[in-house]
Amino acid sequence: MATPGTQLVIDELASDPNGSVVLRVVGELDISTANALREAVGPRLTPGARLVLDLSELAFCDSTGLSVLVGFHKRLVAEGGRLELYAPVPRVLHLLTITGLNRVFGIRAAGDEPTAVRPP
Amino acid sequence: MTTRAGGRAFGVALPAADGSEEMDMPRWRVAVGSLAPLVATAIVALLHGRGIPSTLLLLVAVAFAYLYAGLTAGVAALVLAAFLYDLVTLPIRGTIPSASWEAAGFVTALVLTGAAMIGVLSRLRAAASRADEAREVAERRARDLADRIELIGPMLDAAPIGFALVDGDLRVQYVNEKLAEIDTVPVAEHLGRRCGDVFGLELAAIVDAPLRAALETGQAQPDASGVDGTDRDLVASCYPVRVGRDVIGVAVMLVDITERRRLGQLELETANLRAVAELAFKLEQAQRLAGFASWEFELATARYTFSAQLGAILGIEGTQFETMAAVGAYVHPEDLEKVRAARDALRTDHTPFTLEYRLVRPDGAVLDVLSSGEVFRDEEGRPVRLWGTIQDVTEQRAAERATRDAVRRAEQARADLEVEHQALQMFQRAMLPAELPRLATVDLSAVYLPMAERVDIGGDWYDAFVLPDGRLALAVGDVTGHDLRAATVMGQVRNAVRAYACEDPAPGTVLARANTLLARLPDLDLVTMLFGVYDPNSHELTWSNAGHPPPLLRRGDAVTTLTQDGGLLLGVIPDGEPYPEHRLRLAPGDSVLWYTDGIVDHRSIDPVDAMERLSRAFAAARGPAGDLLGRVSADVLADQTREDDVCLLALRRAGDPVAAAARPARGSAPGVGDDQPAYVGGVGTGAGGATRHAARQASAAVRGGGRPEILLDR
Repeated sequence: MATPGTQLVIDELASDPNGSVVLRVVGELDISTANALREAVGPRLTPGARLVLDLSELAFCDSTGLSVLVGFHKRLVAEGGRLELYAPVPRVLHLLTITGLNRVFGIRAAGDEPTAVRPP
Repeated sequence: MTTRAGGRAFGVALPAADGSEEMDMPRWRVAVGSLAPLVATAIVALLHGRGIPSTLLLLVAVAFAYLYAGLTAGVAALVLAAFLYDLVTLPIRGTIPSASWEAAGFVTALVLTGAAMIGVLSRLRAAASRADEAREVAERRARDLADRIELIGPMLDAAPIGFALVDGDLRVQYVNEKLAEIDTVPVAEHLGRRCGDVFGLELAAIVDAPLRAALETGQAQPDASGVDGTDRDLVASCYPVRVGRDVIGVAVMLVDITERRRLGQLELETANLRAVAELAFKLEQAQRLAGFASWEFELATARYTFSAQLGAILGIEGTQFETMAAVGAYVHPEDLEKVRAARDALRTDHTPFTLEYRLVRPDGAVLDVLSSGEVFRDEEGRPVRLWGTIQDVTEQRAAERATRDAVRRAEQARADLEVEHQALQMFQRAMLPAELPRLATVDLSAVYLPMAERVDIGGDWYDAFVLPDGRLALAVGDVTGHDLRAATVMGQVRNAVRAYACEDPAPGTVLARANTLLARLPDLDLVTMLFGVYDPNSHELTWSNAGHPPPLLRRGDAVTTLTQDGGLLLGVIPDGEPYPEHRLRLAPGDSVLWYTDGIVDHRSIDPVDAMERLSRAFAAARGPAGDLLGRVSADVLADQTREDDVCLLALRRAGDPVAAAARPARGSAPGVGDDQPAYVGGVGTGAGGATRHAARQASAAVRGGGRPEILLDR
């Protein structure tokens, strides 16, 4: 159950004119913060955009959070774009693995700089 | 025989030759010393004939007298000794002493007499010199005092305080003009006269005691104050005047403090008045802050007084109200009657009132005011005036109304939510199978553990049904979200899966078709799910996983996680997503546990740790599937950090090989509604812990084979 005190902060780390955007998502992603992420990321889901979400400081994600990420993925893929997740913490990675989403999103380990967006 | 060379020869212990200390000698000691030769003579008389030297005894007596009682006694004793020697001693001895003794006695007496005369003369000289010294001291003191008067007199003559100098005999040596004025006696008449004779009664009464005290003790006597009968306040101070250590006189200071005291009283009154004024101002301030006005009605004059704050409350600052009618013009027309009634009751019957009514400001704003009125009585209980307050409580009332509205809205929202929640629960309950199928050698149990406190519901479900070919189909799944939409999606998936399974029960195919269905729905609905088919004859379980937590296998006392590759959760990619199938042949006593992620997914516990905890609980369980779930449920319910609903489904290969062999074969495919229980289970003793927890938290019951029941706490 989402706690009222759940916090989520989204910072933009980098963006370039080609539509590559790196956002850092800090806090907990659940039903109480899902909308904040939707609103922050929604405008960046332009056709062909490459979106990198730095999850290195996202401590928790539940199934509602997953569905937000899947939503981003579906919109990006439909328009030639791509979603990458950078350095998810073990428990988030665990969830992505169980649900099989690790094979859908591009998952990049820590150390692989999130700003170094590879060409699709 | 010793000769006296003078008292000093005997050291400091002896009385001094000048007699100054002898003057202090008590008279009885002088008498005793003088009569000492009598004792000596008595001894000679009593012991005569024993060879006592009488002369020696008498000399000893004289020496004793001198040493004991001083020069006077010594001389007296000498004279007495000579007399007694001649008169008593010689006749007693009866013999005339020899000429040599006689001569020695005479010489001794002569020496002693001479010494005595020298002593007397020196005493006389000493006394004369002391008198001279005393006269000189007195003259010096008088000169010193005169010198001081000469020195300070000019400064003090015109001083604003009274001043006098009195000598050691209490004679006035100096007074200044101010003291003469206070004393109402001219300066000249004071001089040289004794204080007691010259000072007026008033002055004497104040000054006399401290003056003497200063003279006698040498201590200053400041501020001896006195108030006389003529409305005059005087303060006298007396200070000893010294030369060296000697007090030679007393200086008297006299201050008339009548005016000062009067000024002090004036200041005090001023301060009191100021305090009263400040209090009035503060009252005004307090009234303004509290939106509070007061009024008075003086019965004797029939006049109203309203505090200035009333104008402020009405938004017409500065307006001073003087009649009740002027105030009444602002009372809300609907409230006018009750205000009048209360006021009339106060005026005629002196009935106090507390009344809430409305005032209409000139700008049209309506105020809520709380007004009170009461009677003020004098000491004899007669009504003197009417008094009351008017307080602006508009904001409080508005806040109270807002609070009441908010509470009402919250209650309404809560009631709405409750209705929705109950509908959701009913819906979800309807989606879960009313009964679990009963198949021989299949020990099946399932439980739904809702969160007690939550208002929404989980999208979790389980399902078990018998396929047309007689095998058992099993499903456990979880829909994203906790709202009515999640519940309806759950219902759709559950029914679709049933339909697909009847056409083609292969788990991979069923999940792929469910995925296609979900992915084509307009909204994004994600579902994780396990679907499997169990053959009760071959004891083979075939299943596929769509993004769901992996099943657990309990074999013997060991629990393993069946983490074979799963497919993607349902609803993400429309087509082509493969769902691999896994097979497992259950040995007798083997159990498989399926569960939803509420059991391993909460933010306070690492999912890996949660998995281990679940495995331990499963491993610790014993008995049939119902007992296994009872044990696991107890562990789940005891977890206070759980955040989501949980579904559990346990499948156990029933009985031991012997029991299985003993059971008569009932054909290859026992069908639906087979009324012979394949096992004796249900909630056994092993589930006791679960039952207790269930009663406390979620009222969940575990059933096997028969009706699986969800007992929700609402």
